[in-house]
Amino acid sequence: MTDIDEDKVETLLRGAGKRTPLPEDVQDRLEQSFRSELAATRRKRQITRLGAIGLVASLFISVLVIFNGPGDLPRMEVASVSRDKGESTWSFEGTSGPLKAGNIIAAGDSIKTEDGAVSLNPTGTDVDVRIAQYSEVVFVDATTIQLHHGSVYVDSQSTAPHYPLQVITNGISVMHIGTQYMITHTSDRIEIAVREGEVIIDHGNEPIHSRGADGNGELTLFTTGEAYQQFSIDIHDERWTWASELSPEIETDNMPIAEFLDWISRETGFSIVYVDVRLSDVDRIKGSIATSNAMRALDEAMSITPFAAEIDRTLGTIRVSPKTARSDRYL
Amino acid sequence: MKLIRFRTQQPYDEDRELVRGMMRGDDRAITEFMDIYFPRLYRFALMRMNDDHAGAEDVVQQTLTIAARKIGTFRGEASLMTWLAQICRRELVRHVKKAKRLSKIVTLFDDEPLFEALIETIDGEDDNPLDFVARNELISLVHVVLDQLPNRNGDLLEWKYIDGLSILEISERLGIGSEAVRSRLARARRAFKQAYSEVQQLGYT
Repeated sequence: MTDIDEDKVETLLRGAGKRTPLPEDVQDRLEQSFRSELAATRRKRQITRLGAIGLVASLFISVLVIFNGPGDLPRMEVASVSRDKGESTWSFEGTSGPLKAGNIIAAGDSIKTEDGAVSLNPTGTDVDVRIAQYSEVVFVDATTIQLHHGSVYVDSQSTAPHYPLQVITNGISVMHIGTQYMITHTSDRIEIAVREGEVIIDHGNEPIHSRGADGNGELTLFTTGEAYQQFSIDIHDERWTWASELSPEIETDNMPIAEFLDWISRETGFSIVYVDVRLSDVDRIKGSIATSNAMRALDEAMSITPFAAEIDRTLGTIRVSPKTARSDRYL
Repeated sequence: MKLIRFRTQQPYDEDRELVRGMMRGDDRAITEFMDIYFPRLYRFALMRMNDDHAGAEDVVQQTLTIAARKIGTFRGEASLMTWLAQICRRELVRHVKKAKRLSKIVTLFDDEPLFEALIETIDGEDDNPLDFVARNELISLVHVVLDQLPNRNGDLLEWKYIDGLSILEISERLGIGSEAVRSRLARARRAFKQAYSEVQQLGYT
C-alpha cells in the first residue's frame, strides 16, 4: 500500500478545515424524534423477548448442544492483540494458526510465543498484557490468565486500576492492585517482579503483598521445596527490556517533552534527571514518532529536540541536558 | 464438519458495543451515538441534496426513525456508518421520487467511480499537498474520509489538527486519560493514512 508522509496528514487536515456542523436546532429535533422511536423499539423488543422467541431460542441452543457439543456455542471474547513481534501461535478448539495484531482472543484460547512477543488488551480495558518470547499462556476467562511457562508483564495503566486481572501459574495466583509487574515461570522457579504499585500473591498459605515504589522494585521468588524469598530489585534492569520493546503506540505530536520523558520513564524504569534544563509546557515534540520500542522512541524524539539524553544503566537514569556535540551518547 | 475460523478484530467492534448499549437503554451510548452519527448523516445527506438543509433534515429524520426500529438487526458486519448510509441512500431516493426537488443527485461517495473522478481532478505530477487541499474536491474528499473513519477517529483528528485542541482538552471532552487519547490519536492517524492511501491507489501517481 502506498504510504503518505506524517506531515501530509496534518497538512491535508488543516487545509481542508472543519466539516459542516449540525445546527443545534436540527440536532434537538432529531434527538427528540430518535429517542422516542428508540424507546418504542425497546419496549416492543422486551415484550417479544418474554414471549415465544425466548422459548424457541432456548430449544435451539439445547438442540445445538445435543447434536454438536458446546463447541458451537458463541465464543466469549476476552482480549484483543494490540501488537506482535516475530512468530507466535494461537490455538483453540484443536486448531492453531499464526497470531497477529488485531486477532480476537476468546476464553479458553491458548497463546504460544516463539522467537517473538505479543501484547494484548483485555476487552474493554486499557490494561496492557505483554507475553515474552518462548512463553505459553491460556486465557481462562476475561480476568484470568494461566501462565504455563515463560513470562507475562502486566501494566494495569492509570485508567484501569481496579480491573480484577489475575495471572495464575502452578498453583500461585497474582492479582494486581494498580501496577506494573512481571511473572516468570521456568522449570525450577516462579518469580514475581513488581516494578510499581502492589500485587497480592496467593500461594495457598497466607497471601503475600509485594510492592514497588520510589524507584525500587521487589522480587518474590518461589523455588521447589523451599520457603519463598523476597528481594529488592532494580526497576530498569535487563529483565524488563523485552517489555519496553513492546510499548503501546501513543501520539507524540505536540506532546510536552516532559510528559514524553515521564512516559519513557514509566516504560523503561529509568529515572529522568534534568541537567541544566528546565522544561516547560512550551517544549514539545513536533511530529509523530514510532513508540513501539521505548528506547528507540527516546532516540528518535531527542534527535528532533534541542536536548540530549544520556543513559546511565548502572544508576538507572536518563540525564537530559542541552544538546552538545559530545553529550548525545549512551554510556 | 465444524467450520472453525480465526477471527480478526474489526474496527466495528466498538460499533457493536455501542449498539448493544443503546438496546439496553444506556443513555451514555445513546448520547454517544447521537454525537457521532447525527452530524455525519446530516453531511452525508446534505452533500447529495445540493445543500438543501430542510430536505437533508427530513431525510436524516426518516433515516434515524428506521434505524431506531431496525437497530436490533445491526450485526457489525460493516461499520455502523455504512449501515446507516445504506438506509439514508434509500431515503434519499424516496425523497427525490416524492418531492422531485433534487436537481442533481451526486454519485455516492463510497462508490469507486467517485474516487476516480476526484482523482482525475487532481493534476498528475503535482505532489504538493497544499495544492491538493486548495481544490474543493479534495476538501470534500478529506471531509468524507473523516466521516467514514470508524468510531470517533474523524472527530479526534478534527479536534486535534483543525480545532487545535490540546490532548488535555480532548481527554476532558471524552472523559478518558491523556495516554488513552494519545493512543487513539495514533490509531486515528493510521486509519486516515490508510484511507488516503487507498484513494492514491485508485489512480493518483
